Amino acid sequence: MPSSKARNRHGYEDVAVTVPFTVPYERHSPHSAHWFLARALAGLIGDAGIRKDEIDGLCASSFTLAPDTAVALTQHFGISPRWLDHVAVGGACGIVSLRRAARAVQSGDASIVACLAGDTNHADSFARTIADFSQFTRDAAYPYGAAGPNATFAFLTSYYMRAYGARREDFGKLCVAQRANALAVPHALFKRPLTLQEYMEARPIATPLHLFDCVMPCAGAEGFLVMTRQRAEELGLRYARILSTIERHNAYPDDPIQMRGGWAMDRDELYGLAGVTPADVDFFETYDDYPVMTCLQIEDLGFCGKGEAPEFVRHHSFTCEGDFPINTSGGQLSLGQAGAAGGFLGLVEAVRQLTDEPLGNAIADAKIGLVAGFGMINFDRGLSTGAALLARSGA
Amino acid sequence: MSASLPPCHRSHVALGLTSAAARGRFELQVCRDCARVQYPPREACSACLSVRLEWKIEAGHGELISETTLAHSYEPYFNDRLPWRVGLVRLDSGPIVMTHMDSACTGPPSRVLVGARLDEAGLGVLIAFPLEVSGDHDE
Repeated sequence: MPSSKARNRHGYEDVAVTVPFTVPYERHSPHSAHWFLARALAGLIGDAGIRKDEIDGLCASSFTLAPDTAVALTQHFGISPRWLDHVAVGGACGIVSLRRAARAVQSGDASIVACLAGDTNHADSFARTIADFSQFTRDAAYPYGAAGPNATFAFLTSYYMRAYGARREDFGKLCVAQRANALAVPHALFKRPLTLQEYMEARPIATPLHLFDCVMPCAGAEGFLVMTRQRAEELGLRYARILSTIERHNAYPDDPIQMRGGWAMDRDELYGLAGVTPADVDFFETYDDYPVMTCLQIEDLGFCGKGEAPEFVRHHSFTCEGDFPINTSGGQLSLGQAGAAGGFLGLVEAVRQLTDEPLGNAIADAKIGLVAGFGMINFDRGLSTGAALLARSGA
Repeated sequence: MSASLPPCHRSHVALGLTSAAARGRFELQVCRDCARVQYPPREACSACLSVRLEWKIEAGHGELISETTLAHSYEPYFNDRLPWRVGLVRLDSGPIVMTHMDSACTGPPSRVLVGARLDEAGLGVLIAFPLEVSGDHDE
C-alpha cells in the first residue's frame, strides 16, 4: 500500500474546512484586490459568527495585490494574526492554502485560519499580469505573440488532439455541461446556455482554442476557514473533512510537452492516505482554465488511462445530474476567472456541496468530492499541481 | 501600420541572446561544468546548479512539436499583424524553445531549423525555418 504509509504522513482527522464564501464576480472593477479580500474576510467572520480578532491565522493569494503581500493585509484589515502565509502558486493556491492552514491548526500554531484568494480586474490588469508573469515568460514566451497562457494551452491542446485523437467536440461537451451547471449560480458571468454548435462556431483565439475554451478574466474573491472539528462544532458550523491532499511542483521536467501533471506522480498517495478509490468520488472539481486540463486531470487522477479521456468524455455526462459531475457550479469557464480566486473556486464549491449549501445545483447524496488545482505557467507548462479529497462530516 | 514595437522587456540574463543575434549568431547558455544546454536563460544550471554558464553557438536543429496561429494578442504590435504563427520546438541539444514561425514551415511534427534574429525592438528572438532553407542558417 501506499507510499503515504512509507512516508508516515499524518492525516487530517481533527481538521474542519468550513464557511465557504464567495464575493460575487464582476467583469471589471475600479476597486483594488484589497477590497475583494476585505469583503471575503468580512463574509467569513459574519457567516462564522465570530469576532475579527478570533482569526489568528491568515493565508492569502492574489495576482493584483502588488506592491503588497499578505502581511500588508494585516494592517489593512486591522488584525494581528500569529500565523501568516502568502501562497503564490496561482491555480494551485486553494489546495496549497488548505494544506498549510490544516497543519497550522493541527499543530496549534493557529486556531482559526482565514484562507482568502481574490483579485481585481481593471481594463488592463490582466494584460499587465501576463506581460510580467515570470522571468521565463517575460524572456521566452511573451515576445512570441504576447498571447499569455492562450498560446501555451494552444500548444498543449493541439498536441493532445494529435496524440490521443481528441476532437473539439470532446472539449465542447465539457464546456456545455459546465455552462448548464453555472446557470443556477447567480454570480456566473455567463448567464445563457451554451450549445455545442455555438461552441464549435465561436471565433478562434489561438488555434485550436476558440472563445469558449478560454476563461474570462474578472474580479472577485473566494474564502474559507480552517479550524479544528471541535471548534467548528462548538460554533455550530457545518464543515467538510479532509481525507487527503497532495502537492507537487515542476513534476516531470524532462517531458517535452505537458501531457501529464504532478497528479500522476502523487495520486496513489492521495487515494491511499484517504483509503478510497476513484470509484468512491461523487463529484470532481477540476482546474478548468482550459478544457484540455480537465482531460489531463481525469487521466492523471485515475479515472481512465493516459490518452483515454476523449473516450471517457464521450461516454459520460458531466452536469450535476450526470453520471460524472464536474465543476458543479460551472467552473472558471462559465463563472469567470477572478485571478487567484480561480484556484479556490473548486474547493469552496466542494465544501458547499458537502455541507448542503450549494449556490446552484446540488449533487444527490454527495459524500466524497475531489478537488484539483493547477497553476503558474512559468514558460511552457504549469508548474504547480495539487489535489484534495474532501468528505461530508458524517461520512 | 502603427508604430508599435514588439515587447521590449527582457531580464538582464536573457540579453545574451540579443548580443549573439546582433552578431548574426544563435547562442544558448551552456554549463561549463556539466555541459547542459539551457533555455530560457537563467542564472544557474538546472542540472548541477553551477553558475559557470557561457553562451555558445547552438546548431538550431530541432523538431516542431506543436504550433498555434494566434487570432488575439495582448500587444498592439502583434494585433496589427494577426494571424500570427508561433511554434514550440524541441532542439536536438535538449531545450524546448518557443519561436516565431517562418511562413514556409509545415505543421508539426516536422524538422525545423531555429535561428536567432533581431526583431523591430532590437532584441533577439527565435524563428523556426523549414529545413530546406538551411542556407539561411548562421553558421
